[in-house]
Amino acid sequence: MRELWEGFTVQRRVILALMLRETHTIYGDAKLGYLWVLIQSMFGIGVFWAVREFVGASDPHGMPVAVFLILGFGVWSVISQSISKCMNAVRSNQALLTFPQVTELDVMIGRVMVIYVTQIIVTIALLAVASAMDLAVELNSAGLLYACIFLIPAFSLGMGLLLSSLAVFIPSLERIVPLVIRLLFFASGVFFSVNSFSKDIADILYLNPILHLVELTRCSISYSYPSDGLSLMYVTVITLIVLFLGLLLERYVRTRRER
Amino acid sequence: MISLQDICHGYKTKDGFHTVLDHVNIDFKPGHSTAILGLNGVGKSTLIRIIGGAEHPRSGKVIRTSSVSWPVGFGGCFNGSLTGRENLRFVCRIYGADIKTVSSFVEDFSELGEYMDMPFNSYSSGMRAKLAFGLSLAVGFDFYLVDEAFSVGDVVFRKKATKALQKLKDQASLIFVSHSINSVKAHCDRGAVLNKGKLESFDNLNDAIKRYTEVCNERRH
Repeated sequence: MRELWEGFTVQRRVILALMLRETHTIYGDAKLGYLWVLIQSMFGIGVFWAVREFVGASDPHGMPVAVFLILGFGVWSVISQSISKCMNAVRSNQALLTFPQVTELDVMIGRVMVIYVTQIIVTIALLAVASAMDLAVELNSAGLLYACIFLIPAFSLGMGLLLSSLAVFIPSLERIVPLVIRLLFFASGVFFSVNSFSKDIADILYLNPILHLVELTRCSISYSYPSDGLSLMYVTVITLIVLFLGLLLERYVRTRRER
Repeated sequence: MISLQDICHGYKTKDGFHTVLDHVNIDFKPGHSTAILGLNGVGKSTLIRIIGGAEHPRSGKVIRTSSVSWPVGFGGCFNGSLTGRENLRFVCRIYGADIKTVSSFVEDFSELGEYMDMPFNSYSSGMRAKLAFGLSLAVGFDFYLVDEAFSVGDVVFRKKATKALQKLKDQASLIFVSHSINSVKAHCDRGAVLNKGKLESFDNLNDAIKRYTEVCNERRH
């Protein structure tokens, strides 16, 4: 029991050190540093907002477009960035893995945490701005929001672990995954609502767990946003499966990586 | 104590599997410094990395009841784009060491001066060895894995390192990889020879050196 506790303390120390290092290497060099993430996110959201305004699309289900896009991009960024960052985590941290207490798992947890915390800060900042502009930000279900906040990083980490481990056996995955991520960007409801599709297409889209996470997060923060067809149960089960398989495979692959 | 039990390791190559370590068994006891001798490319560094836990063997067990340093050599265990000081902070954090005391010790020992705040990439191999060795001394271990680290340093550093090692001898032991018989003799009292995947260990360093010379001669003919 004591050894387990010591193991946890070491791992906590390692992950914290890795997180500090990651933030430093990603944002440390730029003069504005961390502020760039905010600018990048605002830009991404701004472009799609402008396009929607230009086309004259109405507010999706009574939710202001800005809030709709902030949440969509927030959730999407965590998941997509985590997957791509996990896939090259080992290569770009080879030197640090020389230290016995630093494992591949720590490096990936560290990366996902940095991305996650960053996006939470960005999303809160943007929502605060939206709310100050009198756009409706309404806490509909705190429980659902907590569930999403917990599920999103778990799902991201699971996918990151799973794909980066599989890439050891199938190196071409490193090329394919970014393509699939680009496709999924259009199929995850980031800048549209599923309900705007015909039933046939929506039924296919509902298979995508990322879409559930995006839409459920929106539901939790709006009174009027419809939750038809969404299932918290579905994403929870998928997340658990992905996380379980990811952790299992990462452990199996660890001794087989070419360093 | 560090105990290696039935370690096998190898790599996949174009034409099949290349075995580097073939059922290796050895015990490293505190108070005895061991030299690991072998020709280039027989897997000495791989062995060191496995002892330190940087690499996992394909099969077999490594039991460590003492603390072991990372392989101190000119090879990188530091991040190239970060400065020496940032690397130092990272190491302190993962080992739970006090950043201030370690910094002042390393600054004094390594004499890197303003280079502490330059990226690790820009260091010469001698400077890298200085930082790695100074830092490992500051953190403090029962066993030090030293992989050719001193061969790149200048005379001043080598003298300093030798002095530091002599001082350490009471508390710490070395696992030492070097081609220089002189420095091996200065630091070690036991030896092991790695040849064709097999590791032969000797309680007497001179026997190990004799065996190593034989291996070298076999190669020559």
